[in-house]
Amino acid sequence: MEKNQVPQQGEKNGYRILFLTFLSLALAGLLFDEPGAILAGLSRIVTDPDYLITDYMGVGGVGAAFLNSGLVSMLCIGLLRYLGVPLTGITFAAIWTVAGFSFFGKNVLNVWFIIAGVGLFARYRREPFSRFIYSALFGTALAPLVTQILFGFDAPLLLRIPLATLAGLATGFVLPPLGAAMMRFHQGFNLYNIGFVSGFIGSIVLSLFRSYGFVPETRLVWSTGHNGVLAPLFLALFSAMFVLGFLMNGRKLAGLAALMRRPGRIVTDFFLLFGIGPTLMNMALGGACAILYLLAIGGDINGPTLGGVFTVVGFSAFGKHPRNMAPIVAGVVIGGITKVWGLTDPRIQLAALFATTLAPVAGEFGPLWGIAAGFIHSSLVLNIGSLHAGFNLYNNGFSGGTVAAVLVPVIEALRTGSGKNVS
Amino acid sequence: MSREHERVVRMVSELLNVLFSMGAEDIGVQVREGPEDFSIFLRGKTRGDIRQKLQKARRLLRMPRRREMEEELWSLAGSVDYDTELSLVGMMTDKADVRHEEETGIVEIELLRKK
Repeated sequence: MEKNQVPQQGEKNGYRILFLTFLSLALAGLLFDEPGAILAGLSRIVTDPDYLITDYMGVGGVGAAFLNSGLVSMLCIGLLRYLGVPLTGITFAAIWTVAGFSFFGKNVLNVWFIIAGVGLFARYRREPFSRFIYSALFGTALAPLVTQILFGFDAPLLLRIPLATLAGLATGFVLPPLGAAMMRFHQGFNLYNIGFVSGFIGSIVLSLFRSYGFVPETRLVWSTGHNGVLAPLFLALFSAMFVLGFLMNGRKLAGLAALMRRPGRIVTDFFLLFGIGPTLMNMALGGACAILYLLAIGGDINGPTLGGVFTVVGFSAFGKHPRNMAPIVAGVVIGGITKVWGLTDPRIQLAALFATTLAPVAGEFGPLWGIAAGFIHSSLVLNIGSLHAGFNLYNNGFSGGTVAAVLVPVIEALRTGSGKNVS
Repeated sequence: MSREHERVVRMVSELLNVLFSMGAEDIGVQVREGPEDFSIFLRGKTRGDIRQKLQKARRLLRMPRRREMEEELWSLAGSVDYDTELSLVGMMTDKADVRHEEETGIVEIELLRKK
């Protein structure tokens, strides 16, 4: 029997929704700054070193950060359409993740070197580029390497340009085979698989940098004071998204409860399993919960935390839902009460949002294991970043992969020992 | 082993898991490689009420082929016994059919994967 295909109309609508969302985001930049100031800010964003943590709202202003995020994501949507890639849950995850990290580390210049590297790999293998497109989009986590060589090294420009190009292309070239290989380590319980891969690549590259005398300084550009404007703006966006999903689902909530019963382990593609309506509603709920969490703890809504919020939204089409995310966040919060840091520490604000990469652990093994995973992750993520000095933007994916790789076999062994069936 | 063969091995492993979960003990597997595709056929005699599992398997195996997802995710197929990998097998195949003879409990799974 031939496969049922996702209706063409659903796909077109999905791409339209994505494009219009990020077009609105780019244009929303004009609410914050004059066009001239936005362009000047965009120029600073492109040329500033942008390894973790570099808030583009702090570097170039809110308007420029919005424009950068909107432009990068629209160009990536254009690339997907050009390559004829069918819309799935991972498409939403990839585009929202790229858009989110375009508030702190990815920009209209540095992402293309990595993407081209993956393209070279496809050409080397004589296979269509579209087959590796998600490795390319997620792989832009390592884009700050390009920026650092291009604008952060003290060497002649004629040397920096080929070096940065080579580094970007080489990084992209090795990503696809590593993505498949590393997936086995965490068995799909870490949703940010390329973050795990990028952590290893970033660590190797940084070791090379250090061997040649480059020791990057710890970086923290963290803007504050935007909550009053950004919280209502994004809560309105997520409300509209929920209503749109509700309407596209025939004015019903049908499917949403079933969606939230899924464990969320890779591959749980909500778009393919439940359709666009429940997926959009779940994405909206995820985003709203993330914003409300930040407000509840007295956190900051800025470039990096919006990156976290957007990643939650995107992966709410591919595994995350409030039910499997809540225990993970609870684990981070318990850490905040008992450990030496507080919940409003910038790195912990990010950890709480991005730790939801481990949501499948809670979904598959229950809330207590989810809490344990979040608790461990919140400590590991603060230490593991030193291996790559923030050049891997998905530091939480690196940490999450490590936590899952260690924790899941232990959980399985204990569950088998207690006679529970994992299937 | 070629990459294509490794993927087929993992798909078969995943399908064996499905039949085991339906209580099958006597399972036959047939894989044929043609110039342009692989056909995979499994047949097992199941036990008990498997209607829900069958329905789920049908739904997941009928996922549309998604080559761009397969490249990064294929290594998850057949690795452990969680149900979500069956949708991955669905995304790795172009045709899928699951048949069930209620009287005998025989379940047949037939897949076609174009290269």
